[in-house]
Amino acid sequence: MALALLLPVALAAQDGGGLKTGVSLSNQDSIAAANLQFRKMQEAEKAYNAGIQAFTDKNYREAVARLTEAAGLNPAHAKTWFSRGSAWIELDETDKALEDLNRALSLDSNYSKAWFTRGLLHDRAGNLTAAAADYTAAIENDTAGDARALYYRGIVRYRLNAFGDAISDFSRVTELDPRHAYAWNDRGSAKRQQGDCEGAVADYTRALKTDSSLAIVYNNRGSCLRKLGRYDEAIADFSRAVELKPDYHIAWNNRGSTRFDRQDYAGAIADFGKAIELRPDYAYAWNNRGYARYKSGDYDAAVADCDRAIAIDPGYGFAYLNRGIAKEMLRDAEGACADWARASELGVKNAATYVQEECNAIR
Amino acid sequence: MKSRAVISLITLLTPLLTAAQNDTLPEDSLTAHFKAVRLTESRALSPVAKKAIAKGDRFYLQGPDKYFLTLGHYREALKDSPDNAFVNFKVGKCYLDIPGRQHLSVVYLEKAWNQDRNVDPDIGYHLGRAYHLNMNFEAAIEKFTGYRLQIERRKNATDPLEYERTMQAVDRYLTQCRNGMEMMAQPERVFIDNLGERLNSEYADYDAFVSADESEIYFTSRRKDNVGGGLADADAQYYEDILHARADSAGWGSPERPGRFLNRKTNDAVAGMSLDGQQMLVYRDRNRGDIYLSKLKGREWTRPRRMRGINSPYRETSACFSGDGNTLYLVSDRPGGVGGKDIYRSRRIGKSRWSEPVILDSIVNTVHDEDRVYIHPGGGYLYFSSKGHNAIGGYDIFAAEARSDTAWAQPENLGYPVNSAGDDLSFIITANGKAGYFASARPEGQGDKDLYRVTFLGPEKQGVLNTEDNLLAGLAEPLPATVVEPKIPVRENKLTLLRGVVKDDKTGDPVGAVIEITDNERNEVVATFRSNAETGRYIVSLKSGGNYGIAVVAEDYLFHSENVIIPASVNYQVIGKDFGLKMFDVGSRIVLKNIFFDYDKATLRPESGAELDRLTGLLKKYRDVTVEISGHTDNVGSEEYNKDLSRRRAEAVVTYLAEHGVARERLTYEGYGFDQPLAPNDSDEGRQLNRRTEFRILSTGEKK
Repeated sequence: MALALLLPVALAAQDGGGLKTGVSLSNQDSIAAANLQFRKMQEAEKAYNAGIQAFTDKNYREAVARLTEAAGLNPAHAKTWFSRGSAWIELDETDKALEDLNRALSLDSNYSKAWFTRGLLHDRAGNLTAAAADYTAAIENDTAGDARALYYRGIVRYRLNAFGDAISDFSRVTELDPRHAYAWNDRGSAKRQQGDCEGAVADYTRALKTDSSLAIVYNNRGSCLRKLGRYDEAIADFSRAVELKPDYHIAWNNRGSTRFDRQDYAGAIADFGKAIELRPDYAYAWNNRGYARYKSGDYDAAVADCDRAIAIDPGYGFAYLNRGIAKEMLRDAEGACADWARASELGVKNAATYVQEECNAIR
Repeated sequence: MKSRAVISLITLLTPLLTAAQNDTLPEDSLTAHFKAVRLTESRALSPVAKKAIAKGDRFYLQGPDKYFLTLGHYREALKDSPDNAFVNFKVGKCYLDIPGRQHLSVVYLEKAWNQDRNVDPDIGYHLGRAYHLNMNFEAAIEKFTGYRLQIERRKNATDPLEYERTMQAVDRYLTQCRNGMEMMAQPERVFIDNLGERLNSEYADYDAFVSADESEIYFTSRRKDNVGGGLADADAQYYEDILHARADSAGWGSPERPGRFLNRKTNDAVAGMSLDGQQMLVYRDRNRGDIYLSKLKGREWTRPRRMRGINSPYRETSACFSGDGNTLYLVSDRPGGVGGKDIYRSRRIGKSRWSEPVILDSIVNTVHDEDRVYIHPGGGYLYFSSKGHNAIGGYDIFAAEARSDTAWAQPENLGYPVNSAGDDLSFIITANGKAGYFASARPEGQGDKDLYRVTFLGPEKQGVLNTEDNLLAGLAEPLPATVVEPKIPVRENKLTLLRGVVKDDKTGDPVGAVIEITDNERNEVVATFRSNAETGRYIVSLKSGGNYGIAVVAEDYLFHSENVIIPASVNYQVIGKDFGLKMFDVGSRIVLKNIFFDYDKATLRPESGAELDRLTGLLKKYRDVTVEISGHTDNVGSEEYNKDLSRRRAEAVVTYLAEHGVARERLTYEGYGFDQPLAPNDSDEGRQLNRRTEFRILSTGEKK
């Protein structure tokens, strides 16, 4: 064991450094050179570590500065480029990040983390196909059993509407890490996109078994249960979601919609109101409350709510549709027809039918 | 007894008298049969109330046109005795008998009931009717059910026929109430608008026929200013007249009598119109009620002519042309029907001749009255009013879909709120099917029946709720995405590189030697290096924080001994050091740099072990060699002291060697003090070099 401390001459060649082997270090000049080189390496490593520390401390400017220093001292060190690339990402300097990651990958084409991170960069820029390719390279070069690239590729594939491929990626993630609640959730969502709500519910349930604190999973399961007509269970899930995350406006909106399905319009109005209270610019909740108020016969209030939805989003076709429906009940046929015509322009099919059936007949 | 008498009178007289097209006989003509158990007149009436009631009763007996006068007297009694059960009952019952005022009865009958439910044996029945007419079906069912039990209890004391008729009537109301509850739970999507106070009157207005562009209307009205101003004998209402009105921007205008020939002193009603508005079917109460035809010539309606082929000695009350004008649907109570008034069908067989009417399928006609028939111009639907089917009270409006020319689907109730618990009838529909007109007596109207327009909204419009989910957890709550590498260990300078050349001390030739590194503290060899035999070059790495003995050993040479102490704090350094090896010859000497003594003593320290063993080994290998071990010091201290110390130290080494198997006679020792310095004693380094133990070969025993 003491031998390990007495490193052979070749030690200076460690880690991509520039030292030649011991054979050439045979005279004073080369000793001095080796000495100098050694100091450079040492400085590079110190700067690198300082950069990593700064990154860890979320001081990304400092990280870039120190890693730049390290790269100057030892430009052959792929990890330095990679780490600086990561820091650039944190600083939203995408182009610079990409340049550094390319440099890291040119130095080490088996650098899984760099592939992964570049994939992430493409992913964020919406270049999903490029992202998928990089994630694939990351997966192929991965030696640490890291499920991240698989997971992210699953997401990208999902977003490319390749739900079957996404499901297979998420499945591999859950094989590698059965406690990966996100992967269970996302596989459930991919199944749901394939129309398999039952399968989705099973996966969501699995995710919740792993982590029962995930409000979004309760919300997603609730939505599937709602689709399956299991309203009581859906409402229970949405209730749990807002219990875990009281400001979860999406879940409030969903619970309201489910109560609406059960013709509990007062309950629906209250839930939509809660979503509005949390997010006054949430056009969906305004629109939905408007429609629920229409259902409960409060047509003036329905129009007022839809007005708000339209003010927030002037391109919100369904809000025009619903406002037209409420206006019809207020015997404002002209207003109703104008709204349906607008909704129809915005691509709402029902509205086109109503224009055809009701408005062309107006005397 | 009084009310019974009146009802009987009407029931008996009606068939004998000329009847209006709209005969609204009270449907409760079967009621009030259980007054055998007469009230004991126990209601304590004040003299004023008693007198007012008596006056009212006298008017009541004079018939329906006196009901308003009757009511006036009853209300006088009520003013005097507002909480009297009997007075309240009288007022409530009277309202129940006045068309268009029936809904007002409930307050008084309720009060009478609450004060004394024995105030009249039939109060449960009347209150049930009042609730029914107010569309309070649930309360009505409760009262009718109670009344039914009451009748059942008295079955044995009742005339069986009367019992049967009463039970049937009550059961029919119960059925209507249940139908009503069902329909109210799922109201139709309609708007219903009264045609306005300019058109409708406080009297009965009904049977509207509206032009295709909804700008003209003909209808029947029983208002006071009728032609001749007379009252019909049958129901004591004013005679029917045909009226006409036009629509302006403010709605329907005031009606007037169209032309000279349509209206006479008795009942004249519009029974139907052709689609083009050029022909009018007119009801006249001749021959108990027949259908006439009038045509529009220019601006004048011709004198109505009795139609040939369709009329009978019985009553024909309503008729309607098909869209092509070749079929006529009519209502008649002639014998051979299903029951009451029924709907018939006749075909044109000449310019003004019609075939013998044939009764419609029994899927349309019921044992109860059907009336007011209207066929959609397209022929697809037959609209009519009926007291049968699943009516919810009085006449309801129904629609039967045509399966063929002569076959119809099961009629469907137009539902609430088109139909009410009272009479809803004479429905016509606009050509596009989106609106219709009908007559109904409603609380919000001008009085009695009014004309209404119904707008059909069709199936409910499907609005849209929008929801969203966070389907991808990774997007909703992103995992920390950027990764960073861990720190790496910085290469530390805790290392000394010792490098140089091993050569022959005399010739300078390179020597291939073994370089043995000993950790003196642990007294063990920790590494062995070799110098290059060609060049003599070597490089040795030593970790900081150690006391190293370095022995350079080569065949035929004396080993060379170096001692290197590298403090732990020492960083990276490279030490250049060449070794000159001495041949194994007499006079050759080496400095034993790895022999250590305690300070100021001649005691060997344990760190010396490796060097001493090396020396022992050497002497054992070269058994004939004799050597001198000498001690040397720096110049600190006295000469005498230094000589003594150096001699004793040399002796200690010799003693060690002897104890370890080297023959004592081969060994000599000497202390030289500071007589033979290797370096000037003017520095620490110099003095260090001078403090030493030397080994010198005295003889080799054989010449090499």
